[in-house]
Amino acid sequence: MMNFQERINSVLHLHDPDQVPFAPYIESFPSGEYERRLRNRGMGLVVRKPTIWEATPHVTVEERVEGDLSVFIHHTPKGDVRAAYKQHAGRLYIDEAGICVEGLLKGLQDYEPIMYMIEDTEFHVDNTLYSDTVRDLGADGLFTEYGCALTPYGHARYMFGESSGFDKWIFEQADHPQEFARMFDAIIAREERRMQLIAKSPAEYIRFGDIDGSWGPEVVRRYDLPFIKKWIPYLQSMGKICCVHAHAINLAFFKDLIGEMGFNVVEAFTPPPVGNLSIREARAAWGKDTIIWVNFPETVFYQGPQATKKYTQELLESDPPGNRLVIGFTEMGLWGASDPETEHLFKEGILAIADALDETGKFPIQARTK
Amino acid sequence: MDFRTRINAVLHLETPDQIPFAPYDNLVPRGDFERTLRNRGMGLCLRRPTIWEETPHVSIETKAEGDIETRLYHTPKGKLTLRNKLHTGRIKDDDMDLDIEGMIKGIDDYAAAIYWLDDTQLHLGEGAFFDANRDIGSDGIVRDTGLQAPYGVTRYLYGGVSGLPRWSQDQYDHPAEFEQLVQAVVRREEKRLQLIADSPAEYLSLGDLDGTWGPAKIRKYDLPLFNKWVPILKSKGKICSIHAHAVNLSHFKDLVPEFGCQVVEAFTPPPVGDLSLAEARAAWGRDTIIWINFPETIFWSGPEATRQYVKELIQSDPPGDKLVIGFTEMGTWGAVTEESSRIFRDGSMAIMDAIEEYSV
Repeated sequence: MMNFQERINSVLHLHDPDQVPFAPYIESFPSGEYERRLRNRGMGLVVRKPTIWEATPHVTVEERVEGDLSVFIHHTPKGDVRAAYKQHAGRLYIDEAGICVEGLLKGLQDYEPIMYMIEDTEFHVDNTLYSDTVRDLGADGLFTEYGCALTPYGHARYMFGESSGFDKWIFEQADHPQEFARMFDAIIAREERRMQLIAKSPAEYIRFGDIDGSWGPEVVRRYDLPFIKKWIPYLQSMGKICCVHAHAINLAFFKDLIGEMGFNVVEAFTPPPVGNLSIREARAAWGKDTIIWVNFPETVFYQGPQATKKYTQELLESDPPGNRLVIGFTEMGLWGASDPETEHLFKEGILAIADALDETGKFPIQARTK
Repeated sequence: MDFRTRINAVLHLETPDQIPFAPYDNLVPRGDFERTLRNRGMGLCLRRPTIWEETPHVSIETKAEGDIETRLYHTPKGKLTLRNKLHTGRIKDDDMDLDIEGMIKGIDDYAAAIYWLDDTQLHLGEGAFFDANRDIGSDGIVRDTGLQAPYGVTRYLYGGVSGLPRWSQDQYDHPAEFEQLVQAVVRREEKRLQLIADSPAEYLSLGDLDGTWGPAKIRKYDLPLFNKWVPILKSKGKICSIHAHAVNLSHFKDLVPEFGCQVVEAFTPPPVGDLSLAEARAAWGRDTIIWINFPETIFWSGPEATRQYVKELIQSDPPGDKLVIGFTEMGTWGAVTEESSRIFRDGSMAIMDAIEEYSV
């Protein structure tokens, strides 16, 4: 029997694992008796950390706390911009970050300061985060280089905030295309510098941007694909295994695009009933050597453990022989169960996944025959 | 017993099945080794404060210069400057920044600092406790943070190490002003303790015994707060601990019982600390729970020597029902090379072996 590290590395290196790995993000399974029980059954932990930290030496940031709201004012020689976050919001996000209620970019006047901030960004490498984490995890986990978690267009989008800035972000591209394009060019220049360091990261497994689904393939092709097509082959030539965080629930619309991107791993893939693309369809579109890393849809848990087990078994049997498949949690997992009833349902559901993996996830998985 | 039952037996003055092995959760990072130890009964002590703070009338301006971060606290009474070194790796147990310049440089900063302290509003956010408690289940215990001892706070306002000389001098050169500063911290901590009394956590930490300053200062500045609040907290069913990580603890031997805490935690026995377990027990009585910070330096003598050391430690405190062994400063988290990692892992395993063999 393989340990988790051997199992996940078999999949990532296109060898045959002994069974489909169960590999949630570490944050989605806080330490505890239940988590230990699952790890004893082979579940591994995926750690996402950047080996790069950034600074903007000529920009000062002023923080004001107003109740549970933190306001950050960035003072640049080109003017000030501000963002606001709601803090102490509990377990809404997997990383317990504040909720962005006001993005940096709110209008035409904000482009110059933001461009200055982007150009002022300096990158520094700290590989101890990698070596310390890998040593800690041992056979129980996988390190993900998280230094390039967003694509350039994704960076541009989040300049406007999250949900709060969505409308502004849409309008700005139409109302002020030149300014938006200049900002985007500045982001590309910054990300090029970042990627040069990422290529030298000690980590083999690299998270490279996401497919959010809030914008369509045409925009991704226009803005991000050239960058991706430049860097992915280069990173792969350096021995890196690259993944895209494809958490869009409308992934069917991106099916062809993903094939063009050249990633080794399509991660956060959320099958129906939450997403709209089945594993079978994805496999047909992306080929037998694309690793599909499933974000298990927790909504299934509400149907009970038997239904969850059956769902998982059908999922596994839909992608024989199962040697390019990983099951994980990339959005919520047990971490998202913040009341006793949800916790109970989630725990039963997750055990049902482990049962299904033990029973049906052994390599080679046989295709389901009616 | 599972770990939770075992540690609760100790904390409630009942009899456990063996001595709990209970490091801080972050000091044994998650991985195959941690899982091995947990499968053998090691539990985790999770420190999760339920209180969050804000200073609504003080804005903080941050500037980064390489790995140095400068924080300017703008108060109506003036500006305070704090400088931290960032990205320092695993120097401190909590991954915190390393302060290289404290907020207070001298008494000219006192007015602003007192404003900042008095402006602090505290809020009880119980979610972090409930979530952590539910997550950890029988594999650990969740501790709340209940007090920052006022005199020690003034020291850290001057900077952890950088401000030590100035802090020492100012309290003699300007005693009246210094007294005002301490009293501002006392006012803030009184507010904290009022909230903590209603914390959902049973187990609380109440300040530390650092050893950088002597018992006289603690009796003068901190003890009144302990003597007022520890009985109140106990009457509400709380179990109170003091983080006694001073390596010169023998000088505080008589002071420790005056705090009234049920648990003396981070107790570091010789050869790192200067107070043996037997001496501490004799001084503090049979019902004081002594929670050991295992001195990692022992690991360098090899696993057999570590095992022997633990055996002698356990046998020096019979029957062992008021004893906990943990890591409160470094643990395997502090092993940052392959060699030290191997040595620390061998040593930690030897602790587990010895606990199983000699404490049952």
